[in-house]
Amino acid sequence: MKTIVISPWSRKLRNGVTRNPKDYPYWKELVKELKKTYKVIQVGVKGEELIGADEVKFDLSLEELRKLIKNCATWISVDNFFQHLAWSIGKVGIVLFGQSDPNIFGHKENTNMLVGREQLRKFQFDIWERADYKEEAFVLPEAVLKEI
Amino acid sequence: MPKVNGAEVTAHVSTKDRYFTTLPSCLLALVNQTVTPKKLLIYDDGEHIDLRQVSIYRNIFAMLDIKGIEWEVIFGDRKGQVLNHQKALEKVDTKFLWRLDDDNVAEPTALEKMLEAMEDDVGAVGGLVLHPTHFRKIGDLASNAIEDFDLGLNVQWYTFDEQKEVDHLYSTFLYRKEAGKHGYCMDLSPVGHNEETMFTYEMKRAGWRILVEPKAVTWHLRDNKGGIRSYNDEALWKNDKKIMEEKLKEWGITVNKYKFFVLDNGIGDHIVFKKVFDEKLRERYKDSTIVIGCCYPNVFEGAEVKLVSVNDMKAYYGNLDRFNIYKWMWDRNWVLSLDQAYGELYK
Repeated sequence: MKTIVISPWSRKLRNGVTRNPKDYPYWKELVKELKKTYKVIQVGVKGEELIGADEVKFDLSLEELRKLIKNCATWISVDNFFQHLAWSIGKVGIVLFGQSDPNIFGHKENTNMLVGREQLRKFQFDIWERADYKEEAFVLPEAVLKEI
Repeated sequence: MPKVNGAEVTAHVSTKDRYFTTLPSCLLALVNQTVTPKKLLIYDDGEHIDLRQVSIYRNIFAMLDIKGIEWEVIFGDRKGQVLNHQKALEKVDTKFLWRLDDDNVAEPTALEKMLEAMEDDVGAVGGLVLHPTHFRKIGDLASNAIEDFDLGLNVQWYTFDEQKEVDHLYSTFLYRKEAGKHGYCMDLSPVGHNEETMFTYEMKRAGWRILVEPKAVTWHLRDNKGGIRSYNDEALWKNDKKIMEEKLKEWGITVNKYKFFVLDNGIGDHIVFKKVFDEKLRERYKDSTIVIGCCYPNVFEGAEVKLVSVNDMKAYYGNLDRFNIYKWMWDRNWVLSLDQAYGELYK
């Protein structure tokens, strides 16, 4: 079975708000569907919310993550460091953007999924603590499945 | 106990227009040394007031008398501190001279600790010269190697524990008259920019060891008025800078070139920068030593760069806004990619 690596969450905000506006709202639904065809591995930091993956690998070193990325069929992440790490080793994947602009923060080699540019926040370089969470800014799981 | 008796030391202070600001504190600190110098020379490049008529000085001079420290006020020619240092060097008959600036306040054990470090092969011993409002532990950047002269990060400005052997000193230090026989560079302007470096590095070249003893602490009550800050003609500094460049050439020193990068941001930004660095910037700055101040040094594992903390870079630059990629993009209404932005920021 082919493997998909998922890096589902952005870093915690410093204002105590639990939901980072960059975090994708439909992981559980998406993963449930993906598991029918793929082995799904969730990566991240210990304590992060689980998304129902087959396997969870927390607190890996950069080297371990690179190895995992190299060996997977593809990967999915939000706009977090993972997309940059995969880009740095030339492995393409899917990035689920919400309010941040993929033209700036994404890499054109990847499939950068965006509902529409009207959902982008006005001040792209502002801190995320000043942005509200918008579920409607993200594509639905069906759209992601279609891309895969 | 010190290896050398204080009786073999003359302290000298060159002063200008600081009678009623830092000079009294400087002199009181001398009075209160655990090992007192034999003599104190005050070279006055200011208004030539008879300080004996001024209450605070009357008291300080009386205290010097009580402590058995001979003292003398010499009216300088108002030609700057270098001339005064040279005059002191020629005048004193003690084995050692302790030169102080008029905004230096030595802790009571400063002279004692410098004397303890004064082995027979040591030409000069400096202590820490700490700025009360910029009090910091030493970072990875500070260096008194002469090749790092341009860096301008003297180890004496920071706290650390172990004695260091260095190439040159700054500000105040104790030195051996014999080691200073080459004299001061008299071509310098009245501000005497880098005069201490020239003077002490010549000692090093003559085979003397130069030390920084961290247990000897002097506070630098930096004052924007008086002293060399009385001079505001930029040409004076330029003149001295040129002389320093000529000296470095004469000594055969190739000054290290540094290129600094600062990443005070997230790990993703570090990763993007690293790729841009590997693909473009390393080649662009191949003649420089690369220094990266960052939050995630593991991103640069194996890269041939010098990694320091963001705090080190703050100590060096003060404000790090010029390295803030997000501010840079915001200020330019940037619409291209982050990696392109890094390439432009550091072009």
